[in-house]
Amino acid sequence: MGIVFTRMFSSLFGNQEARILVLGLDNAGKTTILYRLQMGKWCPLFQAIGFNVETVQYNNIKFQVWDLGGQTSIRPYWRCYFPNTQAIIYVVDSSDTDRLVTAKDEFHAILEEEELKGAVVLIFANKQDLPGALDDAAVTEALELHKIKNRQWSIFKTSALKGEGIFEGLDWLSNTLKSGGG
Amino acid sequence: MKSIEESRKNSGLGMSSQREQVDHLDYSSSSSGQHGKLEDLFAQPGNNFCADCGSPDPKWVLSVKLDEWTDEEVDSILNMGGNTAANKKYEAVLPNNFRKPKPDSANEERTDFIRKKYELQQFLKPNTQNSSSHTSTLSSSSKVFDPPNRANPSSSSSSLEDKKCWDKQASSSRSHGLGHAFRNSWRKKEPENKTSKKSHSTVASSKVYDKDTFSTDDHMGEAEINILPLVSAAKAYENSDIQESMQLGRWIATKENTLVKDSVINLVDGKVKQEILLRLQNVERGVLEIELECIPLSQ
Repeated sequence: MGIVFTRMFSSLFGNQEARILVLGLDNAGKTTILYRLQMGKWCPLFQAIGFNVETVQYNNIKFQVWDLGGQTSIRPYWRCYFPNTQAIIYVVDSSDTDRLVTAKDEFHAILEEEELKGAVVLIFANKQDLPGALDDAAVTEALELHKIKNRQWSIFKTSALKGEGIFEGLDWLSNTLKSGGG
Repeated sequence: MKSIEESRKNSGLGMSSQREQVDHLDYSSSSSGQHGKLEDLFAQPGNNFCADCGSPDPKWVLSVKLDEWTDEEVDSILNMGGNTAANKKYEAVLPNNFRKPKPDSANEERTDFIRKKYELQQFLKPNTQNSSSHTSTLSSSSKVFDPPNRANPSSSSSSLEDKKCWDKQASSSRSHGLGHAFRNSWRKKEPENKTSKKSHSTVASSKVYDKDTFSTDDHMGEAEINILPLVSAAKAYENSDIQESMQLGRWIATKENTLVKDSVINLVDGKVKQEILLRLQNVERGVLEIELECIPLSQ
């Protein structure tokens, strides 16, 4: 009932804007997800250098999506993009079990950032198409998501390559933002 | 000459040298009170010469004697305090070696100067412009021209004195043969408050005109450029120790924006530059190719 109401509410009161950062280790699939947000668009097979930015209209929200390069050398500059951010999409390569600890550490470092205090967090357990990929429950445990306090978050299984799960996650995000989260 | 008129209204400019308006013989029953105020202003020292070209006894623009003036127009002129005060403001950072138009200067030269002075406000004291917490300025060059014309270098150096402002720094130039003019303005939309859900957006609007020598400039469409990716890249670079040339970012072309192709932000020789190809709006067709550079201002 609440969701129905907020949907009606937002359709009555027009568009909202939201600045979203897509973060995660290198090779997690962030850029592929960004390109997936434009339906039917070709997916690039290049390493994102610096950032990619695009604006996507979805569920009456104009998302300004920033995909920041995930290489170790670039990660220190993520903070330059933190101000005025309403949501973070944290992308994890669910099949890269060796680096899940690094992914967890980076994730919790981000949550500590003062400028991201109010940001809603959406986690994508990506690369579900690969054999040996952990499911959402296993990724939840590996990232220690139960430690998140005072913040709305959710995790979705995705395959950016196949385009699965991404818009379900975005539905959650837009509803959370509309109902005043973030 | 519409734009000149608009700029006059926007800037509240006083006695200027737009001679096209001299023959405006629309004598109408305007209030003598308003004219009285103007007559008083006229009598003040400094107003017996044109603020822009130095011609004696200026009475043009909307004819001071013959045209109808609205209360706002008269008030804005009065608030300006006459030519001496106006020039103090609009020519605050006019370089010493700058050649202002003379009474016998060609209309084209006057037009160019007036645009720079009032419309683009290139000689305005920097802190009288929109200020924000950003520490960068933008310069643009556009390939609508051939060869590309940069904004007046003297004005960009003057803006370096300012620490915290977005500088309006656009090209307004002419080039014979091709005859294109290009104007743009920066506007910055700040969120009302920090908790506002509205995302932070910064937009540069560009208007493209066909520059005609003898007739009115033709509108050739306009384009809006989101300069936030460029500014973010420049700020990130400022805080980094990156030395070599590299790609800092990319603004992706989608159905929802007017980019012709992905616009790449590069770091080249320590300069943060972005090449943009935009479809012009409000016109049948046309593409604006523009290169923006974000120049960090020294603290």
